[in-house]
Amino acid sequence: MFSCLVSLQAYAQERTVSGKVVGAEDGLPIPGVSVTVEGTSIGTASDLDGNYTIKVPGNDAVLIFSFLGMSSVQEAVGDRQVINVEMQPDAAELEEVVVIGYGTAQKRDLTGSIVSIDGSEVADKPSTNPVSSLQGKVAGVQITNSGRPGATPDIRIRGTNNIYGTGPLYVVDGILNDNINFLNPSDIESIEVLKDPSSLAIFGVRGANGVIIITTKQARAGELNFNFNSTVGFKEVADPMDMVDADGFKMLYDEQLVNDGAQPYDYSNWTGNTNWQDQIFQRGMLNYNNLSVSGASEKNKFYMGLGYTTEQGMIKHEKHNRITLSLNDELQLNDNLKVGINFNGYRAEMPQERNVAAAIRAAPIAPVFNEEAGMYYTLPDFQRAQIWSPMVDVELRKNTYIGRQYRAVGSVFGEINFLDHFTFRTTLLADYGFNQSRSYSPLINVYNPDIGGDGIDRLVEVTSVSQNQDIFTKVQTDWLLTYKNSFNDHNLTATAGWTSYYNSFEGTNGRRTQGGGDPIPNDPRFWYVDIGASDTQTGGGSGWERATLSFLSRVLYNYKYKYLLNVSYRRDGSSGFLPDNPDRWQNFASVGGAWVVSEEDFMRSQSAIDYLKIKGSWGVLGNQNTGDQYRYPAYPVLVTGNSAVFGDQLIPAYEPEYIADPNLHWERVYAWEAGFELQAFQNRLSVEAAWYNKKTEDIMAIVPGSLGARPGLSNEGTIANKGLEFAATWSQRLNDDLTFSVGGNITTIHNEVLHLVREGHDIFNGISRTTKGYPIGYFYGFVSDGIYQTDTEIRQSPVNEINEVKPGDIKYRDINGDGRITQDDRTMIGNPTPDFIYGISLNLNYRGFDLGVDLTGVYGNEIFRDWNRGSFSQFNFQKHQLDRWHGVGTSNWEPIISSRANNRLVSSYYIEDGSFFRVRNIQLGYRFNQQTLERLGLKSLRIFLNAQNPWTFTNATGFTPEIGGSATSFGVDGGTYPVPAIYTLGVNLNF
Amino acid sequence: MKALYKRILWVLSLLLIVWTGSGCKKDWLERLPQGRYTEDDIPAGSLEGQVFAAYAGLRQNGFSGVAYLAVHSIRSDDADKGSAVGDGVDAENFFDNFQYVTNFWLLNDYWTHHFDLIALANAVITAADSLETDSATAINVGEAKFLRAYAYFDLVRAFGEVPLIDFRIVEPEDAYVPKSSVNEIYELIDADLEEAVSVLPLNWPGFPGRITRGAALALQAKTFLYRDQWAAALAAAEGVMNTGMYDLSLPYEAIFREENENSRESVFEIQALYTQGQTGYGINYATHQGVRGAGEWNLGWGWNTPTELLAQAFEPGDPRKDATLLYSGQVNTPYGEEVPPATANVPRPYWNKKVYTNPSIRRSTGSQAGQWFNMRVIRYADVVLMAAEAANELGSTQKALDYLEMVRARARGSDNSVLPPVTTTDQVALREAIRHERRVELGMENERFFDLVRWGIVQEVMHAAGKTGYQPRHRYLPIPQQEIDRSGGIIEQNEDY
Repeated sequence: MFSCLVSLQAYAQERTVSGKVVGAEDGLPIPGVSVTVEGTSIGTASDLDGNYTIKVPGNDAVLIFSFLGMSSVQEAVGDRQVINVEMQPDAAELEEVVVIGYGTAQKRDLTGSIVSIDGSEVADKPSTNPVSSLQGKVAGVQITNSGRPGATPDIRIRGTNNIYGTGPLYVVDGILNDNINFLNPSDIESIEVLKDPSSLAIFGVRGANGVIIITTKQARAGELNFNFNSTVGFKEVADPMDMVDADGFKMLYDEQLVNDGAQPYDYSNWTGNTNWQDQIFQRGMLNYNNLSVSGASEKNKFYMGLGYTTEQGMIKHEKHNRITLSLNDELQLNDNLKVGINFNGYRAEMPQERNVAAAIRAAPIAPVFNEEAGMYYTLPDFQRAQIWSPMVDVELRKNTYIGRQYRAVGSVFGEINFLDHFTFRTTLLADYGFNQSRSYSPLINVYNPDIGGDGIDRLVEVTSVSQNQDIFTKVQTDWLLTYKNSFNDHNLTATAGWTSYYNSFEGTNGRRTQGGGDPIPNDPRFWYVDIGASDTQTGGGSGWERATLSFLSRVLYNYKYKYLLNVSYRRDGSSGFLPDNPDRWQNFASVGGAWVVSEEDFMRSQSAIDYLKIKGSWGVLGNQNTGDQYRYPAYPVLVTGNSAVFGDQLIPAYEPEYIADPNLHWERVYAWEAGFELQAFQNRLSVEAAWYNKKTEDIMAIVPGSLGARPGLSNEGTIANKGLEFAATWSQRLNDDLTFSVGGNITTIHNEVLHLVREGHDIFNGISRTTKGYPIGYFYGFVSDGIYQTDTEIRQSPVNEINEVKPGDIKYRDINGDGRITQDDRTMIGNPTPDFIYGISLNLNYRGFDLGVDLTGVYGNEIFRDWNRGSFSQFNFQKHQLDRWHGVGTSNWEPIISSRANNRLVSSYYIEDGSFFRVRNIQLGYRFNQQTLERLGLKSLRIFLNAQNPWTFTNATGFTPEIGGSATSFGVDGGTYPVPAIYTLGVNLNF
Repeated sequence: MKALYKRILWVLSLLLIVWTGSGCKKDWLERLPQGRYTEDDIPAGSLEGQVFAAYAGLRQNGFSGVAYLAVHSIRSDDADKGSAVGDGVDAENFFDNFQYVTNFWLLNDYWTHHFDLIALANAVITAADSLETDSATAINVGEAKFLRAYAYFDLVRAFGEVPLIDFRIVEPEDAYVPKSSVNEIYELIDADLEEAVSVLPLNWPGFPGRITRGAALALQAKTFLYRDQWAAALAAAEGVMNTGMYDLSLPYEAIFREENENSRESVFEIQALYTQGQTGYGINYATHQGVRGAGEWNLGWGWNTPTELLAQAFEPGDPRKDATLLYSGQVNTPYGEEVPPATANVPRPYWNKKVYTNPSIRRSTGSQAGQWFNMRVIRYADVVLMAAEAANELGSTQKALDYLEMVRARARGSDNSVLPPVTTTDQVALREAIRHERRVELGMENERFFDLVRWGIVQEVMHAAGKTGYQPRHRYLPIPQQEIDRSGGIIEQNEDY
């Protein structure tokens, strides 16, 4: 009876609903979309025109539209007769194709950790280097940016693995490279970051630090398309450093002189109150433009992009501009044959690099300019011998450097498919880079009130010109054979081949001074090395080359897309080692496995988890970077630099440049990872997590010379990096008009040097130390326990045997408890590697508006403030030094202002917390709707406002807490160039 | 389609031919260093090239710059750190107030540069072992051994016990050897100088300033003098005098002028070259002691300034006083320039006149810092005084008086009213006279501190001079902490520290 009623009701409301399904991006109908009624077995599919018709039981029915590669859509029927649907491409495509080393593969077939980033994410950002814009977006990748125009970021993937070349390998359209200055972010289609052993082993001796693969845009099938992007904006220093002003300086300096027992200073000639940071910084303008045209037919795909960017630095007169050209064409000769060409070129005018150290060290009591004499002031005598006024570099030496870089990177390839399953591809790639520069050193005259007469202080009395040319060449050939087949639920892709790589450098330089003649004029047309006295001519040149030959192979296998196995092997030989060294050829390999749990039958009954893959891999990777100084580490090279002088003659001499180790071999990184990938809740949630562990053995490191020994490269030790990477995104369509997504990633890094030659051996690089049992490059020094307040306290404390101490000096901790403060009381006082790095991004789309917010941060690292620790000159004081000790109880951290050596030792007083949280990017855009576009004759038009680095929260006192460096010395602030806040307005349109 | 395939086939075969012909070289991986010699390439006769590299080692601060000055001169009663009041206060604490620390840049530089020279010398000596011994090779080895002995003589005086490295360092670990005793180091010095004396020529036509037999003998004399071996010292010093290559013909005030570099008085001189076109081969000897003033008087750092005690040590009318001290606030000979007066910030009434540069050379090189100024390490007058001292200690009083008079006569010049000849035959009084003569003849020439140490009077002289921080242990410096750290503890610190 009851069921009768129900079915009667159902029968009464059963009706037909119809409609059309189209793609949201292009408005084209999608055939084959599955349309089902939720909770029932009623279903149909859309036809070729995207139309569908379905019977629904009632108004409360819900229709589900799903299509592989698209996000599922749910529509409550209500009382609608016609329901039209727009489908968006899937946020997490299972069919996604990613670029891996030497080929492409579907992401679902891979056992490794590869993060794919669409080019549009870096295209609109105000940075000329595309990888800088990835900061905080990719788990496991730590990016430290520099604020200089045209600078390359310091990138470390999964920790610091070795000492030379901590950065990843770049593969740009197949060519292996170590810098990507020539790329225009607008020409990039996608960036893949490869992190784990099963993806990296195929790169053999270049894969240890991770690989970033960049693919430039190619034409998509369809009609002719023009794309134009333009961004204009400005950048400025967001966080100037807190220094004292003239009154503060006078107060502290007077106190210092009293504490040192010296005569008071006469300020009568030094009455200025200058903020040197304001004097040297400017608001820099930037403008990026890009125009591209692409077209594709059945047989031919063509893309060309032309870009012009111009950018100013934050210090006055720094400018940088570049022109880029990207060109590629692919011709399908017939069904089986394809040839193509790819070219990226660039010409850049480089900025004359300036430093901030002089501006933060110069005393504020020095005025800037003397009107009467028409010259800039020098600095007071307590610092003028070692530091010149910042205006000398910024103004008197402005525009005295003309540097140009040219780069042509290209490849040609031919690909042939035969016997149904085989593909043979051969590629010839080359990279030719040419850098030239001309520079001039002008006369420097400054005004010095301490001299009588006209007060002219001639700092540089001789002009000179230099010319420089460097040529970098890389030639690579790839010969790859791929076999792809599926039989009986087994799917197999196998690749084998070999590749050769040649890398060389040639450089020359020349210089002349004015000799006994007139000064060389400050006009670029005279800056060639035939102006000046010929008897003052000096010149030099150098070159190096290196070649590698490698055999590589890889198998990607899966059974029913459920059980995956990836195996790869590579054998590399390198010219850097001596022929009779058996380690000249080395093997690298990896194996990875994965289990797609979601494909199993027992998972089909639940609907929360859409995709779950559990994966793990293990491999041996290699690193071949030996740094610029050691191009031929195994050869005992002599240097003909240091000549002998007898009377007035110069006689050339030879000495060994470094100790050559004939048994030198490449470093090997043993790495493994285990993790999972998850998509759930109708692909709204996606999670990727992995635990990684990398151990670098036989690290090549310089053994520093001791007792006259020359430094030399040897295989020294072992470093381990391990941690956890976790990334998750939730994206959801709230209603027709509003979608949002929230994502975050966090990576922990634990770095430890496991072994270094022998017990007690250390590598010192400046104040950073690397030793067994500690993280690489850690800071080693004394621990400050406060300040001695009184003489009684000094007497009652452990005796300081290093310096004589007085009240107001830093009290160091007696670490070894022997009652004395000696060199043995030094310990680890800081670690420049962070405990973890993280990023959060929020995206909101409402009708035509889109809002994206990226946040990033770093936690747990320390910075060592070194720019004001030296005693070679008097520096300006930082604001926090106003809290100095000047009587009992006035301070227990900031020591007395004095020149005493005790307070300049390497200690925790100079350690600052390097953790920071930064609002990395905020972008608000608006996409014009169809009607407006049709009126304008455009296919798409978007305008946007972007703010990069607007707010940074940190406790460090420098311009920026982001301080890179080398592997054994980083996080040391010697006066770091600021990272700017950049505000831009942009437009991109297609027609 | 067939036509297309045929075309493709042609292209591929051509590519294959090209590839096999050129690309697949067996020696693709053979890449020798470009633009560099390796040790296998050394052309014959290049041992000399390596010796010349060793000479370049003398141009480092540990031998000819502020590090050397600090260890040899600033510590004495004749000189102070100098410079501005606030400049280098930690150096003043170290070297004037004897507050030694184990981690100090001047200490590190002195140590490192000396061992760098020793390594360069060892490279030559070891390389010579594998070559045929001919006279040219032997002479080169002699030069290298002189330099090694010179470096070790400095080290043994400054530190006492140091590691003895007389081999070529191949593996970095080879360098970490424990310290040797003072006697063992002197044994090496003696052996090296014996060999140098036996092979070096008397002079080098065409190579002014290159190491001669006279230089080796002079250094030998000094090493014997420091160990109170009077007979050996006298023999060596007289050996120099008998070569006939040196004399005291140059007037005193002319010795330290640029035109008299490598003169008949010069026994061992560190060479420097600096012009507008060649700026890499100068030394900092004059730069680090140049007048610290402003504008055209910014001649350098102004370190190592003479003290009032030295000024008062000269006998009345001694012309050597004006040749040793450059006076602030008055016109000075020989260029007639007026040096600016002392100020509150730079309260130095005297500067080292033995590095006072010629203003016309300052103009022609475009540098005020005097990087072209050679460093006179051993002069003939020094040798003569060593002979006098040794002779006196042996009881040959007349010989001692004659040698002493040679030096005084030259200083006196044509003015017989000053510097009366010394006539006393009492050994003690004559000893005092010779010591006084050493002080005023070789003032500001970096002999004073170690002379005081070897005479055993250093503490009383220091305390009397106001340098009351001096204690007996301060005659030896501490070993730099960074070397102890690098050696992993194999090198131990000096017991007194």
